[in-house]
Amino acid sequence: MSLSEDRAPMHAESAPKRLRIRKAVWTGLVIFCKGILALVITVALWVVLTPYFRLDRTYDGDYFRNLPEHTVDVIALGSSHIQYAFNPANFFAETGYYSYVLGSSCQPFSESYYMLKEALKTQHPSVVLLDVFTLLPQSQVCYADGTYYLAMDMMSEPVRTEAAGGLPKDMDFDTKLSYTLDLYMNHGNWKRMNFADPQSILNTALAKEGYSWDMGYVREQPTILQYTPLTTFAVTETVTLSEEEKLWIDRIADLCRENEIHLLYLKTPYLENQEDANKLDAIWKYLDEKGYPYIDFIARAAELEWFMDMDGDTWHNNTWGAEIVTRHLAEVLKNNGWLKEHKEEEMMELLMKTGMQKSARDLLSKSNINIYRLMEEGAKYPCTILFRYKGNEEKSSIGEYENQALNDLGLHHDFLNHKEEDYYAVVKDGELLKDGNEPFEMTLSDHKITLSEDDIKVENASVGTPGELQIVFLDDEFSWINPLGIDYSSRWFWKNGCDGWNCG
Amino acid sequence: MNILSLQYVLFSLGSAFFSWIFHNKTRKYLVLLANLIFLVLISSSPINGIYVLVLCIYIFLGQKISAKKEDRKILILLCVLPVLGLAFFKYAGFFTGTSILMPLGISFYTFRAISFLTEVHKKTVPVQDPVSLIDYICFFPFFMAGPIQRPQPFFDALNSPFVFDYRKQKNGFLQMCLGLFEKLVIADFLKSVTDRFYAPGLSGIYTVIAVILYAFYIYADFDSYSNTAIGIARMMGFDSARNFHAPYCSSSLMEFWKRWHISLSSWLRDYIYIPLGGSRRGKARKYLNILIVFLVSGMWHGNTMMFLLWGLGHGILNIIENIIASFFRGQSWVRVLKPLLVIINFALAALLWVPFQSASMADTVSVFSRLSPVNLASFDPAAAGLVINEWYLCLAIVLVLVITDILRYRWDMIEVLAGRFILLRWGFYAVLIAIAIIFGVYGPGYHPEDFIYVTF
Repeated sequence: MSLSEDRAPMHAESAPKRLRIRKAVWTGLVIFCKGILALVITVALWVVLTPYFRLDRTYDGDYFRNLPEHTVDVIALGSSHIQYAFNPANFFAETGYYSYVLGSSCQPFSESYYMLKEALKTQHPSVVLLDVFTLLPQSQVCYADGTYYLAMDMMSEPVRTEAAGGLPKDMDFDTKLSYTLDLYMNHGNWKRMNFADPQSILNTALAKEGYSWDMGYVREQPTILQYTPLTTFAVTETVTLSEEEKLWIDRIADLCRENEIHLLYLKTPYLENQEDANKLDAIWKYLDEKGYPYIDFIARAAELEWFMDMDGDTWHNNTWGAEIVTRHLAEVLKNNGWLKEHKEEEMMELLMKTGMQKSARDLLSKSNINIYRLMEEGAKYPCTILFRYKGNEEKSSIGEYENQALNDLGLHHDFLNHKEEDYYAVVKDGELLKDGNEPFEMTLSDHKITLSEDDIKVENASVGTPGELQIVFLDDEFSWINPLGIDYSSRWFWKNGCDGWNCG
Repeated sequence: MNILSLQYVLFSLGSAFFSWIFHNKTRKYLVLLANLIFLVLISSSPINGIYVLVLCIYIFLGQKISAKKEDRKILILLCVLPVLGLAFFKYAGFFTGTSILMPLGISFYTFRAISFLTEVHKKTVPVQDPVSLIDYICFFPFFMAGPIQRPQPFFDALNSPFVFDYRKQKNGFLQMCLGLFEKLVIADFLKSVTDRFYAPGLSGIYTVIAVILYAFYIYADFDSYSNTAIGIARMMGFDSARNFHAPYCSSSLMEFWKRWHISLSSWLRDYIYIPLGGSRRGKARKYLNILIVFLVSGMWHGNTMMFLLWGLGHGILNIIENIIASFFRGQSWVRVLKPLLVIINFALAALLWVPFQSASMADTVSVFSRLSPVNLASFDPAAAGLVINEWYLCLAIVLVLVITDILRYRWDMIEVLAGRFILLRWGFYAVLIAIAIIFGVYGPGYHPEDFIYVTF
């Protein structure tokens, strides 16, 4: 009895304490669960909504706006077609002029107009290139899959707002609303960059693959070349342009005329369909009528040796395709005298040279590319060339063209008059570092190079199939190597205009 | 650390969490630690910390004199030094033409210090130990921009054991979140639209809209800060009264000042207006006192003539209102006019924000001169760089602000929400989160505007 009496007060004390603990644990659990629920809701909504409403993409327009004033000579506008088809690094290699791609996914003409207007605040280009894809029926896919939002990525909020005034009138309400909401989402990573130190920008810029410091150019890796011709369509139906389409074509032309800029309309090569072909014909007719110059790369694909293999995905050029398109454009602009004297600028040079290094990697690191093309690119783009030639009076087949091409690479040897002499050389960025008629060794960028009578080795490892003639293209930093070995008995490819693998 | 940062939110939640754990006598040390960490994190210059600590030492020593001496002159003398300190930092640059770094939150904690010395003198608050005193002066949620909390409720809360109340904590958290929402979604959006309507070259209806939108913007901006601060304080166990109570629903400027920045206006009433005699010494003196109070308020806000003009404007209009009201006092038919009076009062308050936000008299005159002619028919939002949906969004935001204000005037909306069905509540939260994700001005690349009152 006394025991239970003694125990009773203890129970009385511990029970509320236990209750309190239980309550505290329960409350803690409730808070924890609700916190988790709130977190899950927030994360889920973030994942669902951010692709449309919080643009964490790269804002090429911001990069563009902060380039040194009046240094861009050529601006390319239009949809992703121009983003993939015009490479400012190629253009620089061809002409020494600076260019920038202000194209963006599905960029409608109205958008191109405002882009250019904005661009003219800081730049005064000699030439504007404008791809007409967004006037074609296939571009309707842009409105369906939401990529139209991307068209607005590149400019600041006020400009996007202004540009929204040019939204197509027949756009459905939902798209229009989403598009407008998108206008509010403005980022400005460039504000955190130090423009006094260009190299630091290159190191720290939040660049996305294919954007920003490639000057707006988007890369697509070359595919295997089999020389498949581009399918084209004859016009089957006469279509007309809408008044709105004509309005924007004219507005852009007027804007360029007012600013004394040469405007060149173009359609980059891609796999068109019948509808596109009919519409394209209508566009060219309208441009003819107005006297606006243009280039139809689809019609000229065969002439320019542009094949489907130079296309990445039936719509977008790969690096080789872009090289062909850009080279032709460079030629046209040079021949027409449209490129005015330009202002040289340290930062632009740096950007272009960085772009050229990337282009070199894309263009020269592929082993299945035509040897003549490789020699041409090797002469233009920064790369290192290791060369070994085993003299042969009969079979080398080096003609004048090949001799010139080899010397353009930086080699100093007369292969026509001294066919029988062995020749070894190392060239870096067009500069002959060492050559001679005897094998030699040297160290370059901390790498040991051995040119022996029957092989070329880097760090004592053979870099490719030995042959009687070897050319090895490699990155200045040795990050990629593209060796080419030629055995006279099996390959006779030193024939002008002939691919050695296909020539008998 | 910026107040509009995730770090600040996490810091506040951490402080609240530790308040729950250290809920007894150690609480004031925890609050002290939080305040000191906050001071270190926000200070870009040591002057912030040094000045506030010197002030705390001064108040600590002064409180004993204030408590012992009955003479009111002693109290006035004790209060002069902090006021001189405030005046120095606010006006030295104005008179010397040099730029002097003003310690953050000085306007607010100086008033808290004066409040404390006065209450100690009146014996409504006992003499405090140094830790409690620093906690009061530097209480981090209120440090930068108020509310200017009175000492007694603060010390009562600080010295009582903290009792965890789930509902109270939840409401505090929600109030903090809603405050941040109000700032990052509503206020910053209104700011961007207001700026566009204020663009040079626009006049008439555009300037009228700019003036109206600015009134809503400044309200949303400051109310959001107050809600965030009060929410955090609530989570830490410190209750604070509302700082805004549907001010634009007021039918007179007198009423407006009872609802706008309540902690400041009640401070001015209790520590300036009433000590000056209030309305007890005849009408002429009452009007003079009103004028003085508003001039002090103007000077407290900033060191330019424009703030003085703003204070003067409010003072004069208050006096005129007092005179007119004396003719109609007790007449019930005046109530019929209330909607009209609310509109007139809003118009006056909005117009008085013009000098408040202007950098110079020329800017003020320019805005006033651009207010007419108002031609509604020619209004096109595109002229202000807005697409039509943006304009509708702006109208929707103002409407939401007005409606929630009217609702908040009558009910505690957080409590109302707490009583709803769980799915409805969480659905509402989800909608708010989605809106914040879509429209919120935060995160890398976004540049939220600083709270206006933090600069005072």
